[in-house]
Amino acid sequence: MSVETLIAVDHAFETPPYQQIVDQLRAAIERGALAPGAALPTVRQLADDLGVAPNTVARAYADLQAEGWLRSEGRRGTRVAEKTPAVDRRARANALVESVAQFVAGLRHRGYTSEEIAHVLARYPQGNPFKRR
Amino acid sequence: MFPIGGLAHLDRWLIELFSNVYGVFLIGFGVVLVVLAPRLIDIRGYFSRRELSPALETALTRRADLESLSTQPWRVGGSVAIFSGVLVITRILDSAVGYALACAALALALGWTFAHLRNHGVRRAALLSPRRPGSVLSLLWLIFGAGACLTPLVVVWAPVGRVPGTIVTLATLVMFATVIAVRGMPALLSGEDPEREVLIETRLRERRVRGLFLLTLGVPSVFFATVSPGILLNEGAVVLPRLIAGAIPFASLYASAVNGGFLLWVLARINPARPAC
Repeated sequence: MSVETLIAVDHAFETPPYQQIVDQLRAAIERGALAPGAALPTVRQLADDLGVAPNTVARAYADLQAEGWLRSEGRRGTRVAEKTPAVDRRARANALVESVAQFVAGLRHRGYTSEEIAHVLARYPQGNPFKRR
Repeated sequence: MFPIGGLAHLDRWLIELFSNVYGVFLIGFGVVLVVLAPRLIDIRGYFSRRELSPALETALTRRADLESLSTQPWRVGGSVAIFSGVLVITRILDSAVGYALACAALALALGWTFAHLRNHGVRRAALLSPRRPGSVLSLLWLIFGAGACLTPLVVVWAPVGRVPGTIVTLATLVMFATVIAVRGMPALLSGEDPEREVLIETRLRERRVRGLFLLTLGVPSVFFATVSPGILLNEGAVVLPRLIAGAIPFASLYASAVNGGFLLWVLARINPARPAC
């Protein structure tokens, strides 16, 4: 069975849905789950599957195109760029810290204690970020 | 003008026998829908026992919860078919009209089910690859199918076929629209077990679309078998324009050919590794 690359949008998070899509797409490209030149779903398909407005996905795609992660082929769709931007390690680390901080803040807002969050993060499964225990 | 004859000399008892057999067929069809409704919506049926690992069972249960399909449309459709069958046996309805009503009920049950599928379930995960609806059912089959769906219209010219022909055409078009809707329906993934969820999503879409398309193509084929004796026997020598009279067997042949061709196509894909004779 092949490893399928999924992204998810959680409306309970404080991060706006379009930013969640941007972050996850960028992360998928960075870790090699999406190869250079790989075709992406159409805006309509991704929006329908995620249950978000097409404009949300279009904005995410536009942002990633502007940053050089994706390239549009007009009516033929969107693909991962052959040459993705050079990864700035410090910027990447800062982005991770910021994302985790937002994520934890969202969970605390929903009533989880720091201990509970830390306990789950310590057991966080690798390879399947969506799997629930 | 062209007089349709041929079978008109047959005795009345043959018409009675045909109506009775047809009524029993409709009642049986309705009973199957009512009794087997839970199995018709059970998505485990799309997988063989050998494939059903505990992990896949869990993913299937999660998917079934997300879909939360109801047996109600099938029970309603089945009840209409049973009722139609009784009316056909008691001669209140012509066999073709009874069949048309059963088809309409089936089309509405299918449309209801897939409208629910389309709108129900919280969608929150998506696969990062383009979906290719053509790999499930090609555009060519859809074009052939659209033609087959319209074939019952030729019967509308005959007085006895006017009502059933119209109802069957509408029912077939509803089913055809449902096929297209399911073919391009958004994925329903929770993201908890991506590999198995994608497997389930792919299998369900493929089997549902092809099964539904086969059923859709079967409706006009069976209709011609029903309505042709109706035209020939109930009204004796009905006078039809030559073009229409000639078009009925051609339309019937076309609908059956597309239905048979698609059935063979599906069978070839279910068992592609069939050894050569």
